[in-house]
Amino acid sequence: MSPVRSIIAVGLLGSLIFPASVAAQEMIADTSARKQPLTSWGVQFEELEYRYSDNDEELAVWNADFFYGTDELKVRWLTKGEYAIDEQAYEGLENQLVGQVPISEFFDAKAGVRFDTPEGPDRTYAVLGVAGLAPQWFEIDANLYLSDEGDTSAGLDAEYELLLTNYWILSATFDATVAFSEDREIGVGKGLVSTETGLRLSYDLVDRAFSPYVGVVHERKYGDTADFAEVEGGGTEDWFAVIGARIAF
Amino acid sequence: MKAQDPRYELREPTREIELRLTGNMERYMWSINGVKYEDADPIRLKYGERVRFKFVNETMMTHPMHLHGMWSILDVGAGQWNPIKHTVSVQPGTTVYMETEVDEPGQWAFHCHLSYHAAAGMFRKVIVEGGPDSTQAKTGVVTEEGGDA
Repeated sequence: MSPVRSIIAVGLLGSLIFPASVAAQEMIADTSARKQPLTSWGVQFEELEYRYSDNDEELAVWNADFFYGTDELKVRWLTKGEYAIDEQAYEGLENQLVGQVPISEFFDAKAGVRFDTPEGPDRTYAVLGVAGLAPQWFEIDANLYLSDEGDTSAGLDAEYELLLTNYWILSATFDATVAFSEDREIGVGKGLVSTETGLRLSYDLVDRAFSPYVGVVHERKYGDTADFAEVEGGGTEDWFAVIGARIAF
Repeated sequence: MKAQDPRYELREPTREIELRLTGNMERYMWSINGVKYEDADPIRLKYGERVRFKFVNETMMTHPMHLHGMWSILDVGAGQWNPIKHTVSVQPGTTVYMETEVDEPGQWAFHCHLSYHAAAGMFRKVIVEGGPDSTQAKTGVVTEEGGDA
């Protein structure tokens, strides 16, 4: 910036000293048509997969986001769901609409709303979070939630991609949910609620746009949440074999 | 590389303008001197001067910098036989010098030739003031209009 400023400063100084010549050579006006920031959009399915559990349960699962905006402000729709194929029911269905702004070199702040509409009672949450790239290349997404029932909870998603080659990628994911109060109706106990740990081996088949993968996923419920699940006749721990694809365009 | 037929007489540049090529690889944001085109003032040059541009590429990508309307005389240390180019490639983490004989009045685009980088903000307008036909300065030569990516 400073060289440009100094040029302008010199120009202004010159115009003070030689007002007569200015009339003949007026500064050419900057008539740029575009002074609007560039807008961009994107779609990514981080997960789009079929899961087969150790007790023969079959699930269709997705975790996707769509964004539109500028470098300074993006609107993002995040959607994830778990559809039980035999029961024909959504075990989980979650949609978030957030605004996202940069707050540091590598992190964004997010605020918005989240709608949970699975089989069973619905919930609406206010969302406040940060997302970005932490040192040592960990993708972090941390959120605080306040539900329409007045319950608060927090979620942490972390991901690490190990490039075995430029095409073969081993990605490790870890998601954890903590509740600060009990919400019995949706089976959530106070304390650590659940974790999901995944390991997926993908191959970038078409650029980085289409990457099929296979992997394993481990889900576990803890504490009161696990007790609630047992009372309802559900399991507290599952291992899944998964096959799917990561899609981005 | 050198010029087969020098186009200009060799002379000392009248001044130097430093342009740091800046950005954020993770966010895929691009700018010059940390300022995007939409927030930047034009670079104003005077007709008849010889400007030395210093490119400092602070990013992880190569930026082919293209100045419209005038030649880019890449400083490879060959003096009068320095090559005369349309576009100067600046490799990651390097500093490159080029000189320009300011001999075309008007408004000119100056940008990285990776289209997204240019549209995202690695772009400047160059205004050449003075000169024989300054009152009919060429306009409308800024080709990149940005918009949606």
